[in-house]
Amino acid sequence: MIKVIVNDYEIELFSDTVVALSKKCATIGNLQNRYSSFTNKFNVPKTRSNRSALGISQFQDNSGTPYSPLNGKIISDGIEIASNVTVIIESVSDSISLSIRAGNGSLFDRFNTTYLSDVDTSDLDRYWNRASILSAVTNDWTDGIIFPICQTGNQSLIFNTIQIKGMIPFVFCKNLFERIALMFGYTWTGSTYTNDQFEKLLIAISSLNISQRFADQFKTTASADPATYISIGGGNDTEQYVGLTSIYDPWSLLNTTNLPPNVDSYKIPVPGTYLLQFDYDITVEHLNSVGAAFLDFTAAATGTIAAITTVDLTPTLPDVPQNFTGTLSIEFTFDTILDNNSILTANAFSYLSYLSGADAGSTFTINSGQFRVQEIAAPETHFNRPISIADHLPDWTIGKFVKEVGNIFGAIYDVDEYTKEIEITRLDEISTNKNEALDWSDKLDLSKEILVTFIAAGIGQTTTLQWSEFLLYSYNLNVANDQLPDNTTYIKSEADYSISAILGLQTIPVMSFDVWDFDNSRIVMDDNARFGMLGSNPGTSYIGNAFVGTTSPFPFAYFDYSGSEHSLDWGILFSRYFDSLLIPMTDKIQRVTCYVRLNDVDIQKFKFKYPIFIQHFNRYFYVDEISEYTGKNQSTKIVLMGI
Amino acid sequence: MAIIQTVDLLQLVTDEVSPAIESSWVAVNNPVYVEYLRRDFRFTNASYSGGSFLRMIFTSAPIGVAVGHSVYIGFEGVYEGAAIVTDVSGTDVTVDVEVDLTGVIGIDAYMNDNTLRENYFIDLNISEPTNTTALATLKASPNTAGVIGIDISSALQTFVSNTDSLVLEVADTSVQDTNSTISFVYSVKENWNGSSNSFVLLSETHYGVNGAFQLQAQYNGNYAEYYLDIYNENKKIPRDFVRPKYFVGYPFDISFIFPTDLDLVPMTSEAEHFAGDVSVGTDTSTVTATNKGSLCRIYPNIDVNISPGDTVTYVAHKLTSNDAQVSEDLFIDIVYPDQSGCNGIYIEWLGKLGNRSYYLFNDKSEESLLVNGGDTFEYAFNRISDLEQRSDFFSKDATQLFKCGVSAISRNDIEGLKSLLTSVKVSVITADGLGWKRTGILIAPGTFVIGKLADNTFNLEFAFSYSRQFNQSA
Repeated sequence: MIKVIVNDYEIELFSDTVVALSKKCATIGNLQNRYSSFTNKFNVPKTRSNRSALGISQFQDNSGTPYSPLNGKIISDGIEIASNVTVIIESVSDSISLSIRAGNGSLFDRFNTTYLSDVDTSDLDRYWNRASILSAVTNDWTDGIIFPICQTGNQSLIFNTIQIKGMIPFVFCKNLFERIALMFGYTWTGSTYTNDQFEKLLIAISSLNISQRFADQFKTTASADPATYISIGGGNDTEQYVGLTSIYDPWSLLNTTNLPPNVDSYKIPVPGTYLLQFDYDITVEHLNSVGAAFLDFTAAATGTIAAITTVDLTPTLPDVPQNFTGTLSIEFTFDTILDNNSILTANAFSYLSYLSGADAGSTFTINSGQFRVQEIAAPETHFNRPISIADHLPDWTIGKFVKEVGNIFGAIYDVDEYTKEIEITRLDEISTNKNEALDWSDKLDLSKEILVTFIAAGIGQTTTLQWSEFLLYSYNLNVANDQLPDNTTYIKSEADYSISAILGLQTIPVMSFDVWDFDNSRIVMDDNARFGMLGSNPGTSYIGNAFVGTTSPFPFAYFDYSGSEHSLDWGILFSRYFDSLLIPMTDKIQRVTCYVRLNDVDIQKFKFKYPIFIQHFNRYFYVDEISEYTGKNQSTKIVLMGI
Repeated sequence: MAIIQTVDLLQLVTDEVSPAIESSWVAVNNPVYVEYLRRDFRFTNASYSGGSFLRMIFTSAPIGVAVGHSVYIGFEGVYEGAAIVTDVSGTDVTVDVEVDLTGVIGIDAYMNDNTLRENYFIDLNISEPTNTTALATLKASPNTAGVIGIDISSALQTFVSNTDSLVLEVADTSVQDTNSTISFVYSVKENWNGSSNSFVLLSETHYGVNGAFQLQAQYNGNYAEYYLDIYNENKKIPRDFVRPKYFVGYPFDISFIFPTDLDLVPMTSEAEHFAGDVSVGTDTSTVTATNKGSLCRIYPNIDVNISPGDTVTYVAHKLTSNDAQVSEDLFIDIVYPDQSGCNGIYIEWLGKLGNRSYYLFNDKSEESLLVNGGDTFEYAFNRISDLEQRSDFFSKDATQLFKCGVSAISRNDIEGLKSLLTSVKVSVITADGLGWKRTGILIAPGTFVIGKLADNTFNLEFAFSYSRQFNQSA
């Protein structure tokens, strides 16, 4: 009998309630989806013990209240057959309705509700400029990011000088996997994880969008240093900076609380609309006669003052110090920021204060003040500006990303909730594991019905593996079996394939996709996902003014070319990772539903990567599903696919 | 600390399983719980910090423990629960728990660091004593207090033969089967967050044997759900029975006592009744005896040779009442002399070393009946074969005993048969025409009698009842 333990309490069951655990990982007849282990939905009495375990108050109004998933474990006959399961309170009425997600389910539920943009890649954020590109030349997956040569639309097919503005960041997929595992408290295992192709697999940024989270990094506040300006009189006073300036490089001074002296503006980090405010406490005293005093904010776009806001601080009476307090605000939208890093000041907010027409000895005193970049609305960035890697990746959930990468390698994932390891196993490895197959011949329950079919969902007479478009780099697996549907899709990626281009004086083709905006002379990404492989170009290249190539082969990104080491052509991938399992599977499709006498040890030890052998069928099988295990005294239904 | 405990059936059904029984012998079809207590850091000294906050003093610095870590303190009688580390200084660790150590002596407590050892679990290896290669590895995680309970019986069952494949030959009088046991040790390895300790041997050699498998649950045949386990001290066995229901019918063929091929012959009995010391007359009734039975034993010790149609006169207990409504208990044994034609029965039992032995008894068999007041002899007699009455009969407190005996056997045979007394599994083997059938029985305490004869041979007599097998009511 299966028990559920939550918060050290054994959940009390109704006498006729049966908890049944099903284990599922992937249906290898169709890799479009990955699955998880789960239990049936079952009701438990609303006893004191159960309420305590599940955190439900006796008089709680439960109508429509969402409950937080709880952590628990499943025990069958004293053996823990599933650890760290997610216990979900479906509803509470006279009784409590529960369901449980176990194994892959607990983790992949979270994968599927978390986006790549939620992954912490802040250490990869940097200026997208020449210095960053050159510093990443020798990067590998441990470094996370690289700017490999590829044809984005503005590279020359004649000259060997690479246009630096056309180079975009790529992220190593394995690096993202590492971050994802760290984020959720897991590690990856399996030979695929150290596979050379896996370590060189790249994913290009797909947009230049930036999130509010990223933009908010550029918000800042700073206190004004108290200071007094004393007029020299004679009409010689002009604009005077008095003790307070603004932030020069907001990214490097984010933690500054007091403004440094002798700097004069807040430089705009990314295009957008900015609201700046200054809470001032200023005292002005004009001797002899009343002159003028002002406090200004100006916004300069591309070197020209585009907006100004002013507060008049002219005292009412001469020789009487007058105090002024208030908030000065300015809001301005910078549509365009010059790419040239050397003229950052061309786009900036400036602040100044001054006395005008004052006699000598007149004073302008900053008693206190606080400068704030209050709001920033900046939708995207561009070359020579900071980039936010997590924001630029495809708008995929982590689950989607992990599945897409897994598909490239014909991989399934199996989560061990004890060791917190996610094991990646390729189909070709499952085929090889026949040598370590579990012999369940004597477990087969011949008293129960055995259902054998000769079709498999996902397998047709023509079975396709393709990128988002079918035109290129697709693969068709043809099966001579009239019982099968004409056409099925085994894998359809949401990522684009990339054609190849040979750039000037290069010998190896690089991946090519046109995202260059000639009108504005900059990259404009199209939101499409693209995978690429990292290659090392032995030729000579010039990156802007920097010569590289003779001592450090420059990295390039490719998709496929004749003789490519790790092609992303589905035909090549199929022969490498799929065919040793899928060919014998489709050559004689045999899908078996039968009952076997499994015990708790079998359930705890079971791993999908090991095929099973059953003499009755004289065949090895992949276990598609173990259905509703309720304990060792009941035969358990399993669904098998002959391999 | 680790303990192995096994469960005695009788204690099980009477809810008296605490304290746990520790034994080198475990019945693999019963729950075999291994309990392991996680103790990351143990301390034997403690003091106050800042007035009343618990400061634990370890014998060596608890490496890795740091301020802010979430820990569990297992300090019996003082504090058992979660805490946060507020200070670490050398061998001293202070937590945000106020305690009173007044009168606390003999500290043996522990601290588990759940931050340092997140995702803690153990691997429990079961291996043969002379071979460190694991036969099975089981994983398990602790509860909040660090207690881990695993029932290893499922694993043990995979190593002990459960198949009743022993082929009997009628000509055999005894045989042994030696493949029904496992000797094993177990070891534990602690794991957490990608780190692990080495396996540590935690047990002496244990012996697993097939255990009786008598309680049948609704969904599961294991005792685990009835067992007083670590997760719910209040869990009792009877709770899971909606309505106890006894087996209908004998679990085995009793033809070895009453061969079905015997012709029955009438026998007349006569009882004389007394009120005080005055005879109040006699009753005569006719009962059925077998033609092979030549002796009727009337308590206390009157043996009468009978033949078909004989009248047996027997004397009831005298009653002191003058009440004409006489009530009396009569004990009557129909005794079949040796070699009187009863079939032999095979008794099979599991030896201490896990070997299976059996012996063919055919020398003597008896049926003992209790005739209650008002019952006639034939009524009690006939109840044995009355299916409708059996459940009632078995539900009584009176023990239903079958007697077995053998005479003039050798010392070697007697030595072997003595192991019947301590066996965890004894069965009657009967044949139903299709094959051999085993039915669990219980040797009745106090009935095992050995007598030495002048020729240096031995007599053996014992009684058994078949197991009280429950059939879970739907």
